[in-house]
Amino acid sequence: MSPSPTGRPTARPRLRRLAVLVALPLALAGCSATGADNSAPMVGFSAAVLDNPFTSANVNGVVAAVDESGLTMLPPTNAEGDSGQQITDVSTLISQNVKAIVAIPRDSDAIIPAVEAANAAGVPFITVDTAANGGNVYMNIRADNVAMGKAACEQLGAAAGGTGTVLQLFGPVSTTPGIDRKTGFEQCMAAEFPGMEIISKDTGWDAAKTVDQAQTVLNTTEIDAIFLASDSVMLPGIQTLLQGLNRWAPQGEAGHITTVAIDGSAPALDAVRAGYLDADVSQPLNLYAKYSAYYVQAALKGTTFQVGPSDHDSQIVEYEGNLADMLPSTVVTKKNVDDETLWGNAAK
Amino acid sequence: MTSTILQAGTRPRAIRMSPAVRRELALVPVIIAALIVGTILSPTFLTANNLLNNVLVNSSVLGIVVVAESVILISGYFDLSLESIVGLAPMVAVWLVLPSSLGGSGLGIPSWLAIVACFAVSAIIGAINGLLVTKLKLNAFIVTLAMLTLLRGVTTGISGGQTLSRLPAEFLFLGSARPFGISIQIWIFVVVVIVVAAFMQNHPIGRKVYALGGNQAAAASAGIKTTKLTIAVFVFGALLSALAGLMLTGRIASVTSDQGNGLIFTVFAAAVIGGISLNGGQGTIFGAFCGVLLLGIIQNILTLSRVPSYWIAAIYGLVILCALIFNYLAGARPRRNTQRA
Repeated sequence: MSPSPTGRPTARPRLRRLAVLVALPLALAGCSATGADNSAPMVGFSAAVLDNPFTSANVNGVVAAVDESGLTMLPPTNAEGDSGQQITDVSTLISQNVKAIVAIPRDSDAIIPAVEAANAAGVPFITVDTAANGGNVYMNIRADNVAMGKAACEQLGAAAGGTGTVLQLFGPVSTTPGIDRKTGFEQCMAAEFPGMEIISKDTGWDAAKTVDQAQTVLNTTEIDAIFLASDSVMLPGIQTLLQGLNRWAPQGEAGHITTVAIDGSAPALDAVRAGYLDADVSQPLNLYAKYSAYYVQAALKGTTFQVGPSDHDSQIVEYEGNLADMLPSTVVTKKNVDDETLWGNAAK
Repeated sequence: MTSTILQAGTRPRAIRMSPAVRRELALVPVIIAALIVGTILSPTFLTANNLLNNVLVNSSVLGIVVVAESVILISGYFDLSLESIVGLAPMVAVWLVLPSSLGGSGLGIPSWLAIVACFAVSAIIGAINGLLVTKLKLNAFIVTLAMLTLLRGVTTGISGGQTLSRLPAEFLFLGSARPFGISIQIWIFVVVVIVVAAFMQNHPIGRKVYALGGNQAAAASAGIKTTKLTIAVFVFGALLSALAGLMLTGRIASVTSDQGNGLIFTVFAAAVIGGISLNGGQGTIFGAFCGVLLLGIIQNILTLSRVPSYWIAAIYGLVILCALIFNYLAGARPRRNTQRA
């Protein structure tokens, strides 16, 4: 890019300028090749983030299941953690005339205007994993996160013998999984293991922040047990950290810290297999995918649901004025870690 | 000789900054090219509904912060903490209003007073930034980076990490009102751009801001009260950012504890693509507006065209780079200004 001596654009820079003008649209156009239209009804997917293994597996699973059910899922939009962007994403999906929208909300409250926009356009709105706290949601597909926190507490308390100090690394309380897992864990701890002291740190569902928080606590306090509210976000960092402190040891060996986590990612199942994790509560990701497709189809047919048991071993409950299908999660220990229905095993 | 497109908009007033004006107008053909690409890629793109409700509404909050940052950049400084004010201002206002059962203060302050209070808080923050960089001559980067962290922390502290929702109607108004069928967010954005652009081009104080950013020593010896003017510029930027924060809260009908997080990078990208110089004294508000528009259009096209989701951010970054290179080729080289770091 040599500037001309006069500082004015000369003939050659003008050519280059033209080249960029042509290249810019081409760069954009090059990415649109996959837009094969067909007549199947289109479904939109609004993801809050796409930057962690759990969300990626969740998004990919739902897209595959919806496509297999004979519908066309548009490529998921990615709000990159920005609640305002997610509202625009949903609005953009609506303007593409989708027949239904599946969303993983960034924030249970901040998603409400997006739900209301879909309601106004008559597009059924379904959430997965994180619920919406308002608007008219066709179905919140969820796992019972309070029960997950409770299950984690029961496993952890029993393994630790009900005494000592536990480090709880929790997710932001502005998300339903964050608050529910924390609530379930703490209520159960208070009721069943009152002898254990809890140190709680907010990780913001962020891997780097998790390591920072845990490092400070582990370097200054004697910790007997660790509860990870999300192994897919937190486990790799915690493993590295504990290895550095010579505390990454399997069950039965000196230095082992009782550790229980929620999510059930592939590395977490490996850690259960090898005994580093005492137990893991696996999210029903395979069920999320299956029942996202199920409820999208049901919404297109206009089926309505009521509070009570569903036809697939789960409870439909009322949640913040809408329905939520509380899919069951699985407690994973060495005994059942090779179960093929666990998403962490299927994802490999 | 420049091409006819570029010459067409050259204004007589702007002789001193004609290179910057060329760079600013350079974006117009790029925007037109992007519009054509969008129309080819998606039948939905070139509809009033999409351009207004998706492109412009999504650009409004960003655009107002870009206008705020542009004025500060033209004055020869910059302010990273604007993105934290986008979170803090509405958090303060909502916290003052809401009862403690909803995570608020329980003080029961009326909405209008809380909004006045949040603007006052923002003005004080701007004044502190301005004082630190003028009176103490601290580096604007470090001062406003520290302020960014401090204010983000205060926002998290007030909210306890929670999202505050169930807001009074006064807060929702900025998100839901639609005068003449067009979202109030667009109206506010356009009015802010026009008023600030006219002020910066025509008002003596606006011209003084350019002089300040062009050469501070010369501005001072020409009788401009540089300290006062700098503080005023920082206060102005903070107030506009508070407005943007309230607008964002209106859109999402709540205020999240990480509101505005990461926004400042896009703000700088839009301003620089729009021809605002990071060295001060150059660029126009209209150019910055074009930068915002281009980013908004590209973001929208990327969502509409079926780009694999995992690659959108990479393509977005690539397009920003292309726009910067185009800008460089179309306009003047950025003028070196060694007045300050």
